[in-house]
Amino acid sequence: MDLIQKNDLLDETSTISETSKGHLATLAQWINIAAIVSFVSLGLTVLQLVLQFTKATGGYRSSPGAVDVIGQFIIIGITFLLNITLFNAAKYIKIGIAGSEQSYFNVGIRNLKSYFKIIGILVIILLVFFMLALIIGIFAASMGKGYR
Amino acid sequence: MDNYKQDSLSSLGLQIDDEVKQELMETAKWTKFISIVIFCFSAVMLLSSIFGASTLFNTLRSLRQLDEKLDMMTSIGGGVVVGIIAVVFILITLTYYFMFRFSTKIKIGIAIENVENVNEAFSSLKIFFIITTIFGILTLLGTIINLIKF
Repeated sequence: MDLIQKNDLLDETSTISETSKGHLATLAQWINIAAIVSFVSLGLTVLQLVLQFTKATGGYRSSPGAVDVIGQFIIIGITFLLNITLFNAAKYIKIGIAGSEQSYFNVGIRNLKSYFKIIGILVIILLVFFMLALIIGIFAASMGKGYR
Repeated sequence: MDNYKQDSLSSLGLQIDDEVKQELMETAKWTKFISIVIFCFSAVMLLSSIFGASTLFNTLRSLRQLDEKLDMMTSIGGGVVVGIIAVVFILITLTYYFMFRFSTKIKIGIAIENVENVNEAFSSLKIFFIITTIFGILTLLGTIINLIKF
């Protein structure tokens, strides 16, 4: 009885392993698609900004301030860095799975970690800004009440 | 038994070695943090938008008290706006639920060396990326439409 159960489990685990491989392969594919879509989107956003800038300097609208331009460049830079990391994650996981190359697989997983780590750090920075804005808002509101 | 468990994880042809385990555990920490922040943010934004919308439409209603038809239209419009906001936040929460699921399942899977949990974790992350890619494609279409209008 014990032997039969063990055999069943072994069969089950070999199927699960195939499932794991399948999940990882499709995961890598979708990560790749996500990165490509994001790259195209970023390219079009840059194009839109350039068009806006050329129209503005053409005298139709007021030209954007230096702070705006720097801010947009920072956002574009960070998005590009994120996309590169995501793209590399997909690429190395794919190579790792296809050729059973452990080192490539490890690099892929490391890139995936870096991707989420960068997003996590950005979330922390945004939270700090949000908290600061909240504190300033509360402070300004209390000052306003004081003047009435 | 331990060898058997190790086998079931490494029978991918690839090994989930110590380095990968460490990287995945760290990934799980960050994804858990991100998803929890998104859950909190969604809840706050949903409550404030419902509150804001109801205040706005109450004000509009008080301004149009004399006209019953306009009052009814304002109510329907208010309901639709709140409904759309709710759907958007439910979609965001659902998307990040898969990220949260990935972090919990991968942690358990690695801790007890269980292939099923690892499978579920990768499947959840896959669903997360599928949904975000669909949103990404929709955003891309929006950008293209904006460029054509330009």
